[in-house]
Amino acid sequence: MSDLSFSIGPLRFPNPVVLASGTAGYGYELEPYIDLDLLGGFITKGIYPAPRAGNPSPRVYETPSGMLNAIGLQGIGMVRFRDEVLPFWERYKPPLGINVAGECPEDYARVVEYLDSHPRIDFYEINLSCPNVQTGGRSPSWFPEETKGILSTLRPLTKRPLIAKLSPHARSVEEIAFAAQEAGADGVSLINTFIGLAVDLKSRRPILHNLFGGVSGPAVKPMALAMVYKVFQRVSLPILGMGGIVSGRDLLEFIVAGASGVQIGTATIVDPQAPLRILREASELLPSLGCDSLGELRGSLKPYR
Amino acid sequence: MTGNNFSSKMETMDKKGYTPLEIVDKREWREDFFSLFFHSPLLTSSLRSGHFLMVRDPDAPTLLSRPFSMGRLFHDEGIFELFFQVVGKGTESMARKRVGDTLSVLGPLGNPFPLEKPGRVLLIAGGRGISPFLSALPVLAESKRDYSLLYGAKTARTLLFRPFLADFPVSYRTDDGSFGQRGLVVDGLSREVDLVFACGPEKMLERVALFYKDLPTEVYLSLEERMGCGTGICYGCARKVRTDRGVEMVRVCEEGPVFEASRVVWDE
Amino acid sequence: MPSVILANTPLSPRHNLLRIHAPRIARRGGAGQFVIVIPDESSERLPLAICDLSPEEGWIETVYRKQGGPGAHLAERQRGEELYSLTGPLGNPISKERWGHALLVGREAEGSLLYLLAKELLKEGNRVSVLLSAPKREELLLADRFQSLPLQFLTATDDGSAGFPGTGEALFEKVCAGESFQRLFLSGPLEMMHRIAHESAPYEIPGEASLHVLMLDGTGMCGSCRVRVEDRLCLACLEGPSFDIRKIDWESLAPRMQAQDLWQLSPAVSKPSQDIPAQEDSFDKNRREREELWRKELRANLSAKERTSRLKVPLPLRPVEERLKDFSEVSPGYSRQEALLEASRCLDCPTPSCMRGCPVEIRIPSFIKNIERGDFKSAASVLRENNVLPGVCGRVCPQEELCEGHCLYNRLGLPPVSIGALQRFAIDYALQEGWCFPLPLPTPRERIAVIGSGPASLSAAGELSRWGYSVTVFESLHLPGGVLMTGIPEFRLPKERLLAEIKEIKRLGVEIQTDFVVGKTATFEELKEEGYQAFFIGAGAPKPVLLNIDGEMLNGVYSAGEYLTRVNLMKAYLAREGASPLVRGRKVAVIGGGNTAIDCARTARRLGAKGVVLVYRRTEREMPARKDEISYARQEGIEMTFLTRPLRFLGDSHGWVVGMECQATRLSEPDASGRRRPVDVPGGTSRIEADVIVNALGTLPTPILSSALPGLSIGPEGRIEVTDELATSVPGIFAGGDAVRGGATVILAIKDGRTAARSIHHYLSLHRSRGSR
Repeated sequence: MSDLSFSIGPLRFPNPVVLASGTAGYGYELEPYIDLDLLGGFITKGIYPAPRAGNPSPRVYETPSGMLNAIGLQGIGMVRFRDEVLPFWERYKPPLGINVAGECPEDYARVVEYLDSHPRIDFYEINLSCPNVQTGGRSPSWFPEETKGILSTLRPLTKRPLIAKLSPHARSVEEIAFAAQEAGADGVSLINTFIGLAVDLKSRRPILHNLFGGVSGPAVKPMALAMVYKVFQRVSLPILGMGGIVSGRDLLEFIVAGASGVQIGTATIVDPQAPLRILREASELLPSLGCDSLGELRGSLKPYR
Repeated sequence: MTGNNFSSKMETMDKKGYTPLEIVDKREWREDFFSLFFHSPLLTSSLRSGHFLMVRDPDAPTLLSRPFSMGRLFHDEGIFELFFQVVGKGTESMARKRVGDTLSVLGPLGNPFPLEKPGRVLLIAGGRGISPFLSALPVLAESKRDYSLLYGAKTARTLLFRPFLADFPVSYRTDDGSFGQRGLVVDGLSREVDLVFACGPEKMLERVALFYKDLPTEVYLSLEERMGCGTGICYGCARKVRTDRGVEMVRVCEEGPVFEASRVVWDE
Repeated sequence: MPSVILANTPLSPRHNLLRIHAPRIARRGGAGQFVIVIPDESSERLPLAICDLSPEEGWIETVYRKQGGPGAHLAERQRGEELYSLTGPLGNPISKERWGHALLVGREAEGSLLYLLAKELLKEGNRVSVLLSAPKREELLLADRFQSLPLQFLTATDDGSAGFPGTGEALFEKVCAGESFQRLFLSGPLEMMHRIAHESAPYEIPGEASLHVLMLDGTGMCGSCRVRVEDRLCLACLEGPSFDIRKIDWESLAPRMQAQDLWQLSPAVSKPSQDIPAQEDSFDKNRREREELWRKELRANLSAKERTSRLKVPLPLRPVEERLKDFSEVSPGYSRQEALLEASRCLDCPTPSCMRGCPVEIRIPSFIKNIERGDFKSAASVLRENNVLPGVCGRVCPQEELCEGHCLYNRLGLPPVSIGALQRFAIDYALQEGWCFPLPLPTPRERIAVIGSGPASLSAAGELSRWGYSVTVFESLHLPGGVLMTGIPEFRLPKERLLAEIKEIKRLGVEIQTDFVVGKTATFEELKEEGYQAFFIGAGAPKPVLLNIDGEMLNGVYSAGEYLTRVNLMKAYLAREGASPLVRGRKVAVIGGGNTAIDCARTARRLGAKGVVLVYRRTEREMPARKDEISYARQEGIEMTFLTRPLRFLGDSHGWVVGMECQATRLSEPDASGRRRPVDVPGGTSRIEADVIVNALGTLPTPILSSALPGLSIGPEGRIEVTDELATSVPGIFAGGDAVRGGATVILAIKDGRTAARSIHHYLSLHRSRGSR
């Protein structure tokens, strides 16, 4: 029997399929479609201290081999989250990650400070791509100092693993990953969506009300793989790779590039049962590659030079 | 528990999922309207007027599923009709499908029209909005209630299903007067009704809501919004609706697509 | 900063209990301290006493009355929602000692803070008795909590529905007769506390009373919380809010405490806020730029004779009747045509004397010539090189004394080039087009903390950020800008313009944290631990100079700071929509002769005052205000009474001011400032009628910071002592602006910001090279 488990710090994930933040709601939306206990992990929708409406519609649009989303981090706020979502997850076992969002370092801190005493939480994924006021509306994940700043503010507030979610738009993703490692993060997840635009020719308007959105799906897989590989060369932290994984093959490719586990997002939106299908395909494929465990496959890419 | 012993659990019958269905019949109407027919006694018996389906073509270049309203339900044969107009890449590829091809279908999704509520019913359909009422009309006819359909479109060519509709109380309207009365659907609204169900362009729905605003009539609207997943997990189709908490962004696929008109917040 | 509501539950028919997620405040707060809550963007600042807290769970609790504008707003908010702003802990905690047997007497929402105090006193080993009174049993707030503590809990209800049937005062008498107490703590409505203080006198029980007074900012800025204690006027937010029972001048408090619920007043009374670029000499740079081809061609286009023969383009002014109806600017500024024309008058002198008049040495000919050639973007760039707030300065600088005063045209007997108006034009254009400052160097440098967000601080923060430093600005109020936001009226500096310029500064990477009172929300030590390696104090001089004369406690008497802040910050001019109750006087008297006094007078006219008079103890010639402001004021119908000073304020039986008694003065020999000293003319007393009096006599720096930094050397009048490089007596801490100069001009504050930025850079570079931290 293959060993599909991996760890981040002391936290063990039973299999590499983790659902990405914002692609499976808070969990209860997916309950009618799959047995949540079979997942390797689940990361909730991004949470700010206060409830948030998100952007006006249209918020989604299909792109070649992908999709654009400009949901705008609609969220129920940390208090309702603690009251409603955490009790729901007490019925299921997979490692539960809270995606923490904020407009300034204080926001992130408030969310972690408020939620950390709840026993159900297993880890935090810090959403550094939110536009932040101190970076002039840009994302802290583009700046090593900002990344370090936010993570160092959070580190003393919890003993649980902190995972930094990285954006592909940093000048150097490896540099940001390194800064996260320096600041005490236990892992990194990459990549978040690419900034994209869709144009309605007839009306000369953008399709999305918000103008820009995040691109995800198979179209971004090659870029995501490249960045996972680069980060794997640079840091020793475990990596959750994501970007267009829709099959078991895709999943194992990310492991070869250096990821310890992966996140599935767009695939679930296309078919809510995709995560388990991908897991099954990967577990069936692994032995044919001559490996008994993910660990044997991890980071095994051999460049020519 | 390692991640391996799940194959049996995955196919549990109590979980919903996409089912592959074969196209058993196809009709090409005028003006880019098409119908595809599928055989599924399970779906045909569980679909209600106002529900929608997410449909995906695994061979298509398009990634996301598309939401579709179903048309007529043929209970004896266990066949349901998928009725649509070609408006983009997804629908275009659907229109090229042939009898015998397979599509993945998920449904029923969303909340249907509350047809069981008592009172005199008025159905209002604008253009493509005729779709959900094709399954409602037989139900209403059987209930022997006081009901009628107001169906409007730009011109006679875009008024469809007339032979089917001949058995029901329908009054037609066209913008150009080429069939039925000349004028907009909203010009023909009656106050003498208790229950209104409307489906059509947003502007039409807004005017219907405004017309009945201060009257005791209960009005239900089927809203449309660009969707991502259709299953309520991506929050892509949310729009402003009044809830107990105040005005919130509510998912059209999950809490809708049918909403009580007074709760809908209209854009300026 | 914003804070999330954890609970907002009814405690009694008239009161709610509010629990707020605030880990920082919960860790530092103590009984007697308060917080300021702004429920949502359009509400009033509500001072609320902390009645319980939990450092472990990170929350604080407070009790508030549901009626009244802000209370009603607050009652609508739900769990999980965010409060627009929360600042604290403010005021001083009641000292916790082992007294023996302590008696805590309270009533209404104010009494709820005694719960936290009781817990603290018990922890110190005191024996505690609590006496709570209320109109009826339902209003005995937090009764169950008090009962759960090991203390003697006594209650009195007016209607006899629980406990002792009668008033709290009556029960107090009874209790004191039977037991002895070593310490007394009072917190409740004023009349109750006054009576108990009186009753306790024969028993000689020492103690404190917590004074719940009208407040606006809570940090010593507005003076509305002034109380008379032992013959001295103190600010409750700085020295209180609890004071020695025996020393409080209870009678004097009456009018201000009654006015606490101004919202309950009838409408008749009316309701009423690498390395860094080397410092090239500006003159040299201008000389270099002057030699560029386009400049030479531009000069050649038009002869000097033609230029000097052109008439000065007057600044378009709105008619007075229109101006008085709103708070918009007096002038819409130059149009494009007007700007091009006026710019052509500038002779582009080889040694520009105008630059000598500018404290920050803006290359004036360069920006003006860029306007002339139609390149407004470059004009704005030139301005922004030396000044982070050029749009503000274009409007508020006393140009007649500075750049324009030095213009060559003066010597020709002709009106000077309108440098100020051209500056305003260029920046307004830039903000409209969205042109930003160039983005800073990406090299990661040290973190610097800047205190206050006025012109000195913004200037320092902007410069440092441009050099790649990571700057955080800490502002105690809920909006940035310092005196630019609170002190200068909308019609002189539109807030939207100011915020647009501040937004540009934020785009450089400057982070501004509001509702953060350094010294209270966090100490200097804590900030150092967070990684800040240098500090700039630009906390200004917000504390009002009080007159200390009779009648100063009357309602309707305001310090300029409180008056202008209510109008500017809390939008009191929006009447019912705005939050702050402001009494719009029919006849307003403003004491003072500077720009602030003129601002107050012109504001009063716009609020609808029929008669506004400026009372100044010297003559017009000595007035420090800008000349054009004085002329606008006259145009707007403001009277000016010179050689007059106030003796006392007169009030009616309700505690409202009705006028003031004045003393005539004459000028004698010059004093320390170089101006002639006013002396009283014997027998020359007069009376001026007024239902609003504003004291605009000046301001001083705030002591909140100096009490937080023991090593900081403070000079006379509370001004921070600094070297020429603006270093203070504490290494790593620099200061500038009004905090050092006392009330001075905006442009000098901006200059200080630049000087300090350079000094901080040198200081940190030195430390970097030494490897020390």
